[in-house]
Amino acid sequence: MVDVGFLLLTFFMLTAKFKPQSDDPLQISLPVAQADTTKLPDANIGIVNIGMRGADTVITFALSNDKDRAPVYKPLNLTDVKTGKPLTDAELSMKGDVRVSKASLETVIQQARLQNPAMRYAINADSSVSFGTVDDVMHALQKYGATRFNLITMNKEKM
Amino acid sequence: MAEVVQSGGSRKKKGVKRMARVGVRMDMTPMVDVAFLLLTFFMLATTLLTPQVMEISLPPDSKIPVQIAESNLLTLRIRKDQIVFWNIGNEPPQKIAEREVPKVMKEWLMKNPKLSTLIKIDRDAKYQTLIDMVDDLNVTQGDLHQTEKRFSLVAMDDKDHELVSNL
Repeated sequence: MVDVGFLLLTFFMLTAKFKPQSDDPLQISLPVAQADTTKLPDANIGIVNIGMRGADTVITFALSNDKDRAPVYKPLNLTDVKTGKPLTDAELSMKGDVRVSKASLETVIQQARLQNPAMRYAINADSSVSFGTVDDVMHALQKYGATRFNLITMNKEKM
Repeated sequence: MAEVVQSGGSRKKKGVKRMARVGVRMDMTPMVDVAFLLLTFFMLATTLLTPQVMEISLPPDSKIPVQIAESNLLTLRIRKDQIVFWNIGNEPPQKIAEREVPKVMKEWLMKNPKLSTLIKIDRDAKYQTLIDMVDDLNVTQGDLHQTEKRFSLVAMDDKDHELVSNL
């Protein structure tokens, strides 16, 4: 029994994937759907998170591949919260997600398209955000040629 | 012969080993406890993250108009207050309860497999309604074994607001 226990432990430890760090994670309650069975891929994906914080809608952009992060996030001129210095490439590649405005989202999508044309995009929006915000994000993706993308949902049966 | 010799030799060795290990006993309980604790943690932490995805394709350029026969177009309009209106072609929009939507979709998709669905949503409506509409369509098409997905998503314009505001 102990042997099997260790075997399972090793298996789960090796298959576990940790969420990349986020300064200020958004609380997103996913919309519910029945028909979707495709799983979200975990490599080569860019995710636009749209969540509510109080009455404000907050948009963040996350990349799954760490090597793509530094070149894509660079044009945002991010600075360290404490020291105010610009972030280095190494620090940028550690950042799981970055907060973006409507205008900087377009910059980031454009950079991401140039950096990795094989990348797929997904919209991870809270069920209570307005359609208008999601529509704007979809238009931004469409503008830079990412016309096939995914909307992340939660399966009804699992709720 | 050989067997006898072998067995004698091994017995001797066993005896020696047993002598050396007398009194060495390791308590493995704490280690096993920790291992199972970690196992439980990893099991719980991994199974929780399983999001599904809904596939959406947009035309590469929204400025190029797509010609479509009036009779092949089912329009669903969703007002700010989440009330759904439907119509075929240029007919006047009719109010419908949200759970009746799949019924209408099924009825018209069975009549006309070439039907395209246009989903027009008010910019202030909830994102969940978009998912509901596309999901209903996916479920209906799945039931009818239609694999080709024909739908488009747009925000409502002033004309649409005018059409459904007084209904």
